[in-house]
Amino acid sequence: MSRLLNANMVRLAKSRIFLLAELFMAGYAVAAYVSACSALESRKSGENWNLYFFNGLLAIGIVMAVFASVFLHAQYSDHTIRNKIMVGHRRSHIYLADYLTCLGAGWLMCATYHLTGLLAGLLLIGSEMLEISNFVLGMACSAVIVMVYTALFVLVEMLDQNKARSMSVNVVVSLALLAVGMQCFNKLISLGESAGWLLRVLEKTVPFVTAVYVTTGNDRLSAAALICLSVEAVLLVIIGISAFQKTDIE
Amino acid sequence: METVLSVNGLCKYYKREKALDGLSLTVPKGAIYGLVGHNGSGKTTLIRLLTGLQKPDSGTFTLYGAQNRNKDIARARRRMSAIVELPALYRDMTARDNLRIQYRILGLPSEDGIDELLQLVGLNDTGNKRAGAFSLGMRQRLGIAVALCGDPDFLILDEPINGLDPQGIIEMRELLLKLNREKMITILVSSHILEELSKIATHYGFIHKGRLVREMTAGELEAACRKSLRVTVSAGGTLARVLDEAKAEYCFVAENTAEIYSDIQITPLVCKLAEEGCTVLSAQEKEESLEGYYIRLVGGDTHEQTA
Repeated sequence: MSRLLNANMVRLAKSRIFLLAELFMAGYAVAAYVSACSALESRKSGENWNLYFFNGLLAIGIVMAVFASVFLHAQYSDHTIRNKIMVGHRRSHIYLADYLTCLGAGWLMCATYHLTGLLAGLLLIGSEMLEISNFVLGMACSAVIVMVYTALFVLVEMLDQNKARSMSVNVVVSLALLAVGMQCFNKLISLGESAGWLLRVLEKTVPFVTAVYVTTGNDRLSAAALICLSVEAVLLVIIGISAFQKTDIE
Repeated sequence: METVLSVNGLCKYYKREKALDGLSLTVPKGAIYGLVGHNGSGKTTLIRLLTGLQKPDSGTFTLYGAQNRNKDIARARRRMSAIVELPALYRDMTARDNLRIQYRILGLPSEDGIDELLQLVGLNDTGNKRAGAFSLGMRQRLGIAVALCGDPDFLILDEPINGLDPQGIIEMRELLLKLNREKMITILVSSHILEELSKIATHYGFIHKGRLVREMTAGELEAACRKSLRVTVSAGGTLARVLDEAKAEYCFVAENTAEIYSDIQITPLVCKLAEEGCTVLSAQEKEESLEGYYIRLVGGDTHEQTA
């Protein structure tokens, strides 16, 4: 599988969509901190500006949907996935290599957001620092949220060889997760401990809810959600590999 | 005869449609095997199964001694390469980058062979031009260069001259002959353009409705398409005697019908037969084109399997 990862990395390094995604995340970070700066000035509140450090998580779902669709689907539209299968690489390895490449790209996008944001925050606002525990938890959440999004979008891309359809599905799913996540978050905040079981399940399985918790510094953020999301990512990868083994490549 | 590929009763369904119907064929080592069949006859489906892009519903094939259901098929596939329908290239990358990526996929430690491959297919001066901007002929040649990464012993090409201009067709033909003769690569090439295939193929497999109708060597096909005079008489024995006396080359296709390949004058033959009391019922000059032969072969619904 290392050969496939190696080849994917060469592609990623030359990928325009990856470059665009990186630029978007950097631009988003600057925009987030400029807005944080003006919000803090107007309210003169004690709001912790460092929470903007994780704002990139709100956008990463849509960015990953577009990135995974364009980057991975080139294999089908250019038929280059055949070059991997025909020389004897296992399909499970091809799938995993693609997943890990997209995951790495997603983490790099988050890192770009964080680093650009850190720089913008220091320049625009000052040197107030996050508590180390919040920082570690936030970074862990970032990593796991990207894992889930990547697993979901890679699954759709690897199993649907129709470019327009798979890309549409990925974008719609990412928007749906955003909408459902936002609804859940609002209800969970208003209902508190009286929230029903479905809301509690969604709280721990919809990555956008965790993303909102992280960006708002909400106390409901729990290690259980992280574990659930990790399991969800692993299950999606296993389902994807099983289905990809049986897929006829055109 | 050492074989590279042996296919045995391969079947493939797409939903309820039967794309391959118990297809069997054998590709000898060192051959240029022409897989002939019209569109939808099952050529591409067979290639997809051989390359592992799809799985057969039943039947087996053996590649370099490894059966498709065994794990060692992956190792055997490393000795094989293919272009299925269109060349598989990253269109946003240069020819060199495409080869570089294929080298990495194969895990080749050195990129030394890339220049040689580009030279071989005549793409060494394409510089930073992206594959997406190449002509179809250039893409086909780059596809072959990608397929040649790792020095395969067996190359499968699906309709490699489709859409090429005359110059491109000649270049492709010369390239395939060069690969076969100089690099000793066995080639399985599918096409529905028989005339072009006949310039390079050493063996043929005719496919129709997912089945092998006939498998033959180039020599056998040439013989089948020779110019001949088909004569039907009232007494086959008399005709044979007269032809033997004339030292003519012939063969009987029915009890009283013979194909005469020698350049023979018809009037003396008819007179001689008449003297012997044998009536000529019909005489027809025949020169069959390869296409004509193929159409005659697949025209009926009966399928003849050859060993």
